[in-house]
Amino acid sequence: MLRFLMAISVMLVAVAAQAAFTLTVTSPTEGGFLGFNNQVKFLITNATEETTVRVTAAGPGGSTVIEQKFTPNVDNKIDGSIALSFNESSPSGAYTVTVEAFDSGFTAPPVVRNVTVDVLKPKILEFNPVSGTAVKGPIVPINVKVLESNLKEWRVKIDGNDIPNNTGTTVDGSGSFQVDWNVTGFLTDGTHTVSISVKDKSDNETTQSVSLRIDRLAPTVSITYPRTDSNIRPRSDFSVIIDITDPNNGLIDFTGVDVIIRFPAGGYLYRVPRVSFQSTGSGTFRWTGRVRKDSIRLPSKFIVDVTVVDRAGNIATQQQVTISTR
Amino acid sequence: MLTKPMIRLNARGLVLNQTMKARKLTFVVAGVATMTAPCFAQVPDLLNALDAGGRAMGAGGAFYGTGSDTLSGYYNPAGLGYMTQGAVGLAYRNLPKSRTNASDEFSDLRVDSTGRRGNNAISHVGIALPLSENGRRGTIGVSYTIGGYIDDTRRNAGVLVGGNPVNGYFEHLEARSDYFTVSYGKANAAQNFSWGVGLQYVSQKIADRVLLVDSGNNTLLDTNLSETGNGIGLIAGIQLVPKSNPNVSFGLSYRSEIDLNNNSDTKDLYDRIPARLLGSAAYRQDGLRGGRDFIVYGAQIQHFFAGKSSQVFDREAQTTAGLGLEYNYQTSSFRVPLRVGYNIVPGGGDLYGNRNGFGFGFGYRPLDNRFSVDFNFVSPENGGYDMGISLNYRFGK
Repeated sequence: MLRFLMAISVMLVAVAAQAAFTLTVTSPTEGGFLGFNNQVKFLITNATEETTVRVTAAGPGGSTVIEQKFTPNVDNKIDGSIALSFNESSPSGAYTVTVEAFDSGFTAPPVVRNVTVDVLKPKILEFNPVSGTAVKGPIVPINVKVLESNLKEWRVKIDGNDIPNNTGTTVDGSGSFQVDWNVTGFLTDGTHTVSISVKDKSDNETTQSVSLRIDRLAPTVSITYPRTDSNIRPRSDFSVIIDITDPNNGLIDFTGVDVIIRFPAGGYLYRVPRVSFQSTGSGTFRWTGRVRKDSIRLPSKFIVDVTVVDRAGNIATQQQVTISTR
Repeated sequence: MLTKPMIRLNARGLVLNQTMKARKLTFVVAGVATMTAPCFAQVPDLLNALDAGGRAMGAGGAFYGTGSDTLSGYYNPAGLGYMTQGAVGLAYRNLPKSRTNASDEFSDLRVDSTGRRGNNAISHVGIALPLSENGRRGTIGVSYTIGGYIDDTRRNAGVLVGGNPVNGYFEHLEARSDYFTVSYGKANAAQNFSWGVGLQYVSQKIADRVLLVDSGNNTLLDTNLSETGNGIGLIAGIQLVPKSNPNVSFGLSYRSEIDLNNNSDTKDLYDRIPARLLGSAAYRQDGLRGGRDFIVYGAQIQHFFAGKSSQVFDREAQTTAGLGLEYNYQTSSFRVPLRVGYNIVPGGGDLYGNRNGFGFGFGYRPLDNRFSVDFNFVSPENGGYDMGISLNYRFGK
């Protein structure tokens, strides 16, 4: 009888020993965010045998069950994790992550985490300046508009380096933020890469790189034709040819060339229409316009007034030529 | 009645006073300039100084200011005062033309022109009507005269724009001044002084066709102007035969400048026909070939006052001169005038050069002086040649 009781006791002790392991889930935390690739981390103590851990993620799209077996270490601990991944087809929203652990004789109480699954990367809707833009500074405002309801952080880097005040965790009511880039530190003009990165609370990250050209030198303008002595006849069709040079291979757009014919006193008379605009070399451009006699009746004396602004906004010295048809 | 010998130059040549003594025939070609062709001849300038093609054409234009025929209305209306019979006159001549090779900067072209013979045209037609017998009440003249003409075609011979050769340059300039004159002249009873006034309506054609294409095939300039403006001017003149020397005659006339109207497109090119001051003198030498023949020497200066500067019809002051003589060979039934002269026409503006020309001609006049016909020729220094025919017919008693 005593032996029987001792055997029962040993069995009870053994059962009691098996029931003693505990399950602790360290990640995700309650109310946490999950992204595409996540790890469900847990710690089991007092494990005496191979233990099965089951993770069940239940959300708007249904349930996902992942089950793995773990062997405790010499300290009867299991410090493990199970990968819990989602993809673009997984609906975002509120999920319940349930972690269960059991072995041959014991099942730990399940641990439940209410989380938010976010598999939508932040979207950079707009950014300005756009890539290829020339800027002159000294402060270049970099405006970004994002779409992200679970914003964690945004960051703007220049050539991979942080600049002052280049990070933030909030956006304005329209989803925009601005970083002012002070370009005075760049002694020479040239091209730089602006990286805009936005990360949400699920650590989904979107990065946009923008190539900007610092151009702080104004173009120079030459009115090739007509000149004061060009002998423009009255009531004639004639060309207006403007040669433009922008230092350091600067960029000129035809929209930045404005050719106006004015009265000698300066009053507006006619805007010369463009016929062609072409690059004639590195940083050199030729704008050609044409004045048609049927479009405007010019006075005997008039001024051809040329204004040129490069893409960075550098304004060339205004050029004028006075034409007399007498 | 005439009490002293005198000369009058009219459509018939000279009205002879039979009391004049015969003199020995002498040919003197005075003041004929040496004819040398320049290496680069500029555009021959007849914008204001086209010879109307009358009798004096063959004598360097030396007799127009002292003449007395239907051309007087254009040159000196005082000549009408000596016309005692009605007359009609017609002149037909070729109009000048030139071909020009242009080089250097378009803004400061260098031109090399060669004269050509242009189309023929009626350069004058006129009628003179005395208001009374013997012209005591003076004579009215109505005439049409071409007073200026330029037809120049320019071609590219190395034109530059901004130092770069152009791919194409062509320009054709044309100017033509048609004068319609109503004039009146009256001489005094002694027939040694006459005065005249006239009203001139001018139809002025200005045309300029330009095409200038640069090395990049940009059409730098495309001009196609052709317009005929008009204006009105006044002309007044006198003719004087000194009592002390009736073989000499002087003429002086002034034509006001003429501002052109209805020329909005071309006014920048040519808007004012310059005023003209004309002075002329003639001297008759009688007694040649036994008293049958005579010579008339003439000299005439026309000064055109400065007009407006222009890119193509620039007008600076211009003084032209004509020197010539006419030998009148007379037979029993007709008279043949033989004339020779030299006309000096310097350039009157930028790009314009002289059109000096050596002239000669002959005519035919029956002794009844009813009609006359003259053939005249001019050989300009810079090429081409001019030929004119003039006809005159007198009617009335």
